[in-house]
Amino acid sequence: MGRMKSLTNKSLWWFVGCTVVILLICTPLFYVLTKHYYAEEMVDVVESMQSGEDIPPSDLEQDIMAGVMIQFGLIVVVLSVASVVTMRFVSKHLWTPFYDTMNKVEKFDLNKDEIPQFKSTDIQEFTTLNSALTELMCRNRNTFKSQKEFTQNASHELQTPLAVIQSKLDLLMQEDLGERQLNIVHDMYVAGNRMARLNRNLLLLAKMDNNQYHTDDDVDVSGLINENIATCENLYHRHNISCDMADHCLIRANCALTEIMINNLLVNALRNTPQDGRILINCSFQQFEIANTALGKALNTKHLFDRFNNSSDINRGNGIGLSIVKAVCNYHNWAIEYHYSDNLHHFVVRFNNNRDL
Amino acid sequence: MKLLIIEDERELSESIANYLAREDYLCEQAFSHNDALDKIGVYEYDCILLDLMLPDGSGLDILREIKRHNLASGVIIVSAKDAVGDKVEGLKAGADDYLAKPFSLPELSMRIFALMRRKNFSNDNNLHLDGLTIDLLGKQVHCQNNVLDLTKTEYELLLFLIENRNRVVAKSAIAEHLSGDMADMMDDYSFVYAHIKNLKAKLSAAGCAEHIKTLYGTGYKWEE
Repeated sequence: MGRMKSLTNKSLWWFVGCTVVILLICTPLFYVLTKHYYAEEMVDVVESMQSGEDIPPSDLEQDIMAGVMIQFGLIVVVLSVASVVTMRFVSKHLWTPFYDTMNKVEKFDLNKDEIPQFKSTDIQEFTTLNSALTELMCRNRNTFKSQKEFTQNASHELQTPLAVIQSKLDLLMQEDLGERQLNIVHDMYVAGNRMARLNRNLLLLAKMDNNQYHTDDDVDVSGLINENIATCENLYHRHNISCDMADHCLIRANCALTEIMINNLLVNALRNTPQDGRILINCSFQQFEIANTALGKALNTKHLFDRFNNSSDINRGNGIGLSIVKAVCNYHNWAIEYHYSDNLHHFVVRFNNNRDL
Repeated sequence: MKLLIIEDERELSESIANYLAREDYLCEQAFSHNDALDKIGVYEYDCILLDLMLPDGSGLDILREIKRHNLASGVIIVSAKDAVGDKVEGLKAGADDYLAKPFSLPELSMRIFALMRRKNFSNDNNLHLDGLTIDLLGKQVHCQNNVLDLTKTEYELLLFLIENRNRVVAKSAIAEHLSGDMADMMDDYSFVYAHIKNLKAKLSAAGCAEHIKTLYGTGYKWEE
């Protein structure tokens, strides 16, 4: 790369260059003009003055006026053409690196680990801009990355002390405790369980953020659903679940994540169905739909899938279940929708089966 | 039965050893990678609890070492790395089971029991206790020549209590054992009571003495 030039400098040189070139092209025109209008008559006048004759009558004055005006016009035209050319084409050419940068910045995604490579240019301003942007993006990416890693590590490190607490509570229960003490220990036990689960879920989200799951399992969705329904019926004696699905809905996905998603959606439905309500499951290899009886009104969709959002009237449990569902869908490029009809809450997951893996 | 606990967190290791220590279990502890390798080289263990993340090395190396020497020990990985990938890798490397931290001690005890049962397949598959005979292969329970008609859930519940006999098992530990993640997410452990009630009724109908003790609705205990 040669010497750096500033943008103004460069456009000025282009403008001067254009003007000179067009002027050179127009030189024959000027020549013809001058010659045709007043040069001949001037020669006549000069010749007759030299030979002492009278100046022949001519419209010299008028011709000079007209010629000068035309020349003036011509120069204006040349300058305008030169400016238009520099403005229109030269600018476009000069600004190409800028547009390139703009495009790449627009497409920049913090989640993808790529910093765009900008086109190299000899224009001072753009080079400065590009290097500043590159540095900014690098810094952003590193902060983001370390933040994600921090979440993951923090959740990780918490597992061991949680395990210690839980094991100590298990031991404490073996002591000869009275009703009051035992109740307190059990409350701690339950709280410990909830904390452990929350932590596991945060770890799961962090791992999805860090793209640590492969998505090339053949997952039998209907099998997963049947297992879940069996658990519901055996343990909770919930027999109000009806299910309509094809026998083997195979999809390409991560098995564990798909199971977690289905589990979360089912539990969400169970928690929010009134005693006499029902749950409908519909599944094909294109989509999974679960609907449950509502209490008369639609959910506020705005923050439905947000983490720890307790503003809506849904019974969310730990407040993270639906955001995990959303995260699993995003991870696989599936669409998830919520709608309300016939006093039922519907959650629909559309599998993206045509995706290239 | 000889058991080796490879776990660098001393408190956790102590708890496990404390809970599992009973007449037929002999627990030894190793707190580091090298310590564990030394012990494995010298003694033979029936079951090894293995933490994957040790300060001076990876648990997976120990696992490979065990497999290389073709030791008959059953291996249960106990790890905070509950990533699906680690679990798969651990099982591929030859572990028999995987338990993610944190876990309840009754659950761990149950896993060890299940593993030992599978390992000693040729031995007697009947468990005799307090007048009960449990056919572990056929999943049938006999009491004084009566066959008990138990549901799958009740059978698992009975085994869980018996394996943790003479110990108080928290209601939530039972719930988690029976339903995995679902009970946890439901935040509802009340179903345990219903199943315990049915189990008790069936046991007494078959003429089996009262062994299940309820502790104020928060825990249960099988008393010999």
